[in-house]
Amino acid sequence: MKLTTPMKQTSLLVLIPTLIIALAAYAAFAVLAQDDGAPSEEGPPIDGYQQLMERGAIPALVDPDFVSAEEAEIPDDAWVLGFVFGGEAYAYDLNILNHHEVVNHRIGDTPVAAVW
Amino acid sequence: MYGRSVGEQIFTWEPSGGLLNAGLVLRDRETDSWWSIISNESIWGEAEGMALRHLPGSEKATFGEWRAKHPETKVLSVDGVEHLSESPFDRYFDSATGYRDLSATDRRLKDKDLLFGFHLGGRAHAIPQARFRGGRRFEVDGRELFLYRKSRDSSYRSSTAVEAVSGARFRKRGRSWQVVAEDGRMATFDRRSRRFRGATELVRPIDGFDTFWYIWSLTNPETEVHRR
Repeated sequence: MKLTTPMKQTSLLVLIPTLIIALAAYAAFAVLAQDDGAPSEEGPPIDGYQQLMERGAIPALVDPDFVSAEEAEIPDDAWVLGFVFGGEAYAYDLNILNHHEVVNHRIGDTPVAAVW
Repeated sequence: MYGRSVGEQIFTWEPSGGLLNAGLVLRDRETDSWWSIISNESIWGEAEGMALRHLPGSEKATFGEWRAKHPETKVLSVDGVEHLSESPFDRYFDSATGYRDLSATDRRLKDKDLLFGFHLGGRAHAIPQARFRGGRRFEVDGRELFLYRKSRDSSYRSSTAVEAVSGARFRKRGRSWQVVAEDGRMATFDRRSRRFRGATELVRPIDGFDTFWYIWSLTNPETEVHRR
């Protein structure tokens, strides 16, 4: 049967580019799917998980400095996460936490993390 | 606030760069595992199933209020800076829609309704903040709870959420909330400090946090909502 009717010509015009795109996508997926032993940066395959940026793009703090309330330049109306542990009090400015999200440090011998 | 020693390991956490239903997901540098704040555990990797360990004693308040209670407080300092005036999330807090238009599938509450979420008796529970403005007693899984906010509280401020222990019960006398033990010991809620004064051993904080309905319900689909 000759493929000369307008409908069959249109089908071919759609089908061929679709096949090319599908093959290209498969080839790209095959390359990306090669297991090189490194942890996936796409995130865990869990419903609802979205990888939005690279790990480390928001830098966590590890063992940062703390100053006394007298030394600190922070207004009274600034919102803080306050924490009391082992008789010691700590304040973390929320807007600073927005830029780091996690503060890893120790209070005495106890390792703690402020998370926002 | 969390303890970083879980089991016999000490973890150093950092943002994963991803979100689970718009809730923060961390990764640890020791095992590269993923940890969900909303699920309260490691969700993927070598540490999967390990629970995050809340530490009591934290609250969100203005620095002036915090310093008045704790004059000797230490203040986080990053490169000599203790405060930034701009918050990148103000528009997000004020908007009625979820992050990247994410929306709850469970329509019992509105997407951006604020609630106090917690896990008790093997179940997830949510109490809308609107239900406990001015203070309210709840009975959840046979436990006696008290939650408090002021109607004008900033959404930044953390809710007060405590559980009565030793068989004590919460009750309201006039405008005051009290917790009373069977042997007559009593503590009265001080609205200014948002704490019980007196027999403070009768209450302990509940592990939980304030968040939006769409985040909480997507991660905890079987959650029980307490409206009264």
